[in-house]
Amino acid sequence: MALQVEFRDVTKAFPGTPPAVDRLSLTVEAGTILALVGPSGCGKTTTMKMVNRLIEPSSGDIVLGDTPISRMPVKELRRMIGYVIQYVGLFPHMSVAENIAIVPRLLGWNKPRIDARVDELLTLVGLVPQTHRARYPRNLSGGQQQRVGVARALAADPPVLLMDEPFGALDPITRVRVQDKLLAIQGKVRKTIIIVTHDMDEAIRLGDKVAVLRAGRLVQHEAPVDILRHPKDAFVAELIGHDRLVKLLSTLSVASVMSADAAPADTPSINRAATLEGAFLRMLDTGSDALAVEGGGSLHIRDLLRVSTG
Amino acid sequence: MSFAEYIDVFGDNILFLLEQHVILFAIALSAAIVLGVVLGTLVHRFKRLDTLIVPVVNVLQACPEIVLLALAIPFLGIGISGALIPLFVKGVLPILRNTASGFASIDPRLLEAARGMGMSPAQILLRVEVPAILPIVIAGVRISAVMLVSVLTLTAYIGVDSLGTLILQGISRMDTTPLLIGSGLTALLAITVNYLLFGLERLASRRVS
Repeated sequence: MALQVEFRDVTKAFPGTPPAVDRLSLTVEAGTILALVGPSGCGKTTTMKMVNRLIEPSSGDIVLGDTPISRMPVKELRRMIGYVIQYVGLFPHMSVAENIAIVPRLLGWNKPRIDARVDELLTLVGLVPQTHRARYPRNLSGGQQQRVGVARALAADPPVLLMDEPFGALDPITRVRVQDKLLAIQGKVRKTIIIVTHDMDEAIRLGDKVAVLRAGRLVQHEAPVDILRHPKDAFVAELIGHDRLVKLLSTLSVASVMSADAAPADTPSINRAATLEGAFLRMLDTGSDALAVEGGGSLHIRDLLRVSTG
Repeated sequence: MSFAEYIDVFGDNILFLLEQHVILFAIALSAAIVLGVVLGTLVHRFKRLDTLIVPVVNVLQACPEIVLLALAIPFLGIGISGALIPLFVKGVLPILRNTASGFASIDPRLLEAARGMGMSPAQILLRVEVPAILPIVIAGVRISAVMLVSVLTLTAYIGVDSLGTLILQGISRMDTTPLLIGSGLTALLAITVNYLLFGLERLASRRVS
């Protein structure tokens, strides 16, 4: 189950400063991932914390499914929303199993049900229940801690998941691995996920939609491919970086631009699911201007020249 | 009188004084724990109290015990309360300080995560804060306890029975036997208390890195 999250003209002003979030309206469709991205102080974390009412909006409303959250009891609301923060969020004095069991225990589940759920979740996030259940967070690697954090947030099967810079403390290689794991998990659980990050690469990798914020205002809210193709202004372009088109190539798959024409004999081949970046590198590598796509069809270098205009 | 003879004659008295000492110790430490934990929590919750409470406790801490005892006589008289009140005060500071710094050492993001998961303030206190600060508080209690065991010998000066009575006897009669028994038992008691609480501290911190 997943619920739509809708921000309706939401403003958060702290006294004496410009609004942290300024008349924000956007909808996160049920079962999709929204990446909130922007520099420090742009209001992305404030935006997220208003969803589980760690921060109350000054005006406007946030609607979960069809209920405004201002009309829901805070505790009930929070138990419907999984919350993942940087890995410090695991309680050091509780074992992995106890950490995951927090919300189910608050909800009064019985022990057999909790135990079964803990094992199910550990398996889902790719940890072996028998070996990891009784461990303490300090005995886990950063990536493992983060996966336990995700398991904990999913414990009571909440319709919505909030993730605050969840992978910020991980090294780049582990980060990509855990991001892939999250996408695989999302393929199975289909939650509505709002993820806060300052890393545009992460936003593009994870988001079905990306919302770029600056100084509390929504600058651009589109699918990653569209943002890469048409950054709305210099600010967004700078956030993406000078390798915008390389990122675009790495976001699109061969299947999205290939043609049905058969490739000439002896051309090197590539998988349909490979990225265009991979295809381009293969062309450079083999000195060939065309690739045969496995299972039929071909990709010509001309196809790559068209992607930036979509 | 030889050692064996002394124990033979005064054995019951030694046991009585040991018992008195342990009772005084238990009362003084309990009071110090209650006051230390309560004040430590208040100092943490209301930062302004910090400037009010800590200097007072610091001054009391710096006063020599014998001075505190002497000053207490005109106000509290000679007896149990006159002996206990000025002394347990000495046990408050380490517990207060460790309680406050224990609370301060908890990562605020951890508490926010707990709130974000829908825990009530009471649940956060019992399930998150208390387990996190417990080893630190026990470490403070251990310091206070060891100090109180030895400081309590001074109560003998104002006529309250404790192991200090034996030490005082030894000094006034130039008799090393009660002197050695009194100070030996005091030291033994301090060492025992230290190790017991150290074990408790280890047990509580087993789970926290």
